[in-house]
Amino acid sequence: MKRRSRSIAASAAMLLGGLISALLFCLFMGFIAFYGDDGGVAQFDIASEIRRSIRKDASGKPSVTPTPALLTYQRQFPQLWYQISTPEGDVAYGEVPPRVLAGQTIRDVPAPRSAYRVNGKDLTLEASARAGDAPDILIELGGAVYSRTEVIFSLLREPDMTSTMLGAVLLIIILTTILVVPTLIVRPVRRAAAAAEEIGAKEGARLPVTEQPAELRPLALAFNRALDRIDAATAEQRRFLSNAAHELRTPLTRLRTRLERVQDQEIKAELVGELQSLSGTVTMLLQLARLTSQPTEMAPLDLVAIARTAAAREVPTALSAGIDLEFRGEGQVTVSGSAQAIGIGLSNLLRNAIQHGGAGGRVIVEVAPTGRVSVVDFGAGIGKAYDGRAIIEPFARGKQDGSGTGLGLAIVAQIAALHGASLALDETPGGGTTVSLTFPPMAAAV
Amino acid sequence: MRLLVIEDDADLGPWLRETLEQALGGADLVATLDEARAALQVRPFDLVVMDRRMPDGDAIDLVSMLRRLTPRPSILVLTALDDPNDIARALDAGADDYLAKPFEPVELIARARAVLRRNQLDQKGITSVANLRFDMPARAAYIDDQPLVLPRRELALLEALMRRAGHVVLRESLENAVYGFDDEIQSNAIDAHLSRLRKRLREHGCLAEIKPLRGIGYLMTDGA
Repeated sequence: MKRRSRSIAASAAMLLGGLISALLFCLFMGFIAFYGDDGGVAQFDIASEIRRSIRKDASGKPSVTPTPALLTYQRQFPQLWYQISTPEGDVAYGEVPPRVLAGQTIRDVPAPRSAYRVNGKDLTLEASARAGDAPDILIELGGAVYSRTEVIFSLLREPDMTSTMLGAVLLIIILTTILVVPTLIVRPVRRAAAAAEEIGAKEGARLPVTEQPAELRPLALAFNRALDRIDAATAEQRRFLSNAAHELRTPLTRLRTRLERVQDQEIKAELVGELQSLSGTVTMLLQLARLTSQPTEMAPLDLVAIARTAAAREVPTALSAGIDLEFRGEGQVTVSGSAQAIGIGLSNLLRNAIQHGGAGGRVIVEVAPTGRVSVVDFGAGIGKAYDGRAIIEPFARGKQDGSGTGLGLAIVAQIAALHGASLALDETPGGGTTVSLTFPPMAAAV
Repeated sequence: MRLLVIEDDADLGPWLRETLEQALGGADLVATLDEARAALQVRPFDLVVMDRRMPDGDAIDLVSMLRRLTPRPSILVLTALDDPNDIARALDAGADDYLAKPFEPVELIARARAVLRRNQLDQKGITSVANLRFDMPARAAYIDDQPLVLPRRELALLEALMRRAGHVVLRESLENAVYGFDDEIQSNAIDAHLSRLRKRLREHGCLAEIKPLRGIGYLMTDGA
């Protein structure tokens, strides 16, 4: 069961639009019901039906063939009467009051009564039925008054000018509400989101709380508290790592100084080697911990410059191992990432190549324009013992001679994962190992 | 040459003093920041080697004071904290170099020599590698104190390499050093100048060596 999250703003707009229209509609209908019908509304409706019912024979004499609607009216209002007068003759229904027959004006009558002159399809209300001369067709009627409810239904059935305009106004209100309200509600949310986005990796930056609308303030406060916790955790982690570094390295250093006093040169060299290997492991473990625990800040960088700098940094190591270090790469290759992390990764790859692939006498760092950086050695290769991912796992080693820490590639894999880059280990044509990091194109970069 | 070692560790301190003394000359050992301040008031030092975590504070706080001294001592920071941010903070404060613990004695001596050499370069404008000496203000090179006459571009190359002796100088830095804005750079011109310069140095019995690194740059080493 997954609840679909609808836009709050859209729901609010719908609700508001609906409420406003319902309110206006009820107001208008209430207004109509309040004034009710003094006979005019009902008699206009009936007169319209009567007009439709009038038939004339060849001599022009009128007769009435009631439409179903007129028949309904006749049943609804038992008091209903009407008289149709034409120059050719008259037709009447119901009890036509004597005054009408006497030709008195409609204002004289206490009972509600209307007179309509038929002009083609239109009905014209006449103030005085018998006033004027030679009427075309005159419909006089009375004895029908709508109740309050019937007035409303009559209007709904046959909307006149006023109700049509009201409908239009309601439509405009609904549309405006639906269009404007979401913007009004969403704008502060968008602004808050933009502010949150700007915070990014800036340490100590917080969402401004007082600028937020009251509804967003709890969210902003909670967001800031979450940032506080993250910052505190990061600081704690950093403190822990630097304490760990200090507590591990200081005794190692002390041990190294004591080794200087060892008289037997052979034993001393062996112990120093062991100690260096242990120190290397400590350094790499700390690097790995730092990479996994701390956020990496991404920025556009030139892979060529970073790789060349990393190569330059490892030159002394390479020279002391008697290895020619070479760099190949032209122009600029822009990738998104952390210069520090990529530098650490390349240093690890280079040291691996120098240490384990040194037999070839040279190591090449190559940057391809596709965002790929490779470290190529011409040594013995990693052999078949490790296929696929296994060698990337922490503490996995290509050779079981106890050299190396088995952490270098794990660190590189971690850095690759942070950058959404792929790490590949291949055999160098002619023997050796080629390790490549391929970064995603800039646009798709994380 | 006088050195000050600021180190509170009972094993490491004496060992540092001994090692540095054997390689570079007289060294004093202090175990607190207060003692260090007192020592610095008594006499000038050429090099201060400091550990960061001292009983009475972070030794980095001393760096700004050290930098105001004349002559300014070179500062080498030993750190167990190899967090890149910590290293950046040490260098920003004004330390000349840092060395991550644990370190090999040879590495310590090499780094100490390098910062001393750079400081000497900053203050006197003179730097030397093996029997090659370069006088920056005079723009003159000497091998075994014999002046070496070099064409303009080779002199500029040698100067750039000597400034960063022991470090790789990237190719583009060399191009910037040798050519002005208006000069037309031919892609292999630098290599031609350098091979002539290397030949000339060899012929004059220079022990220092310029190591070419393909695609990276060049490195001035003492040839050892």
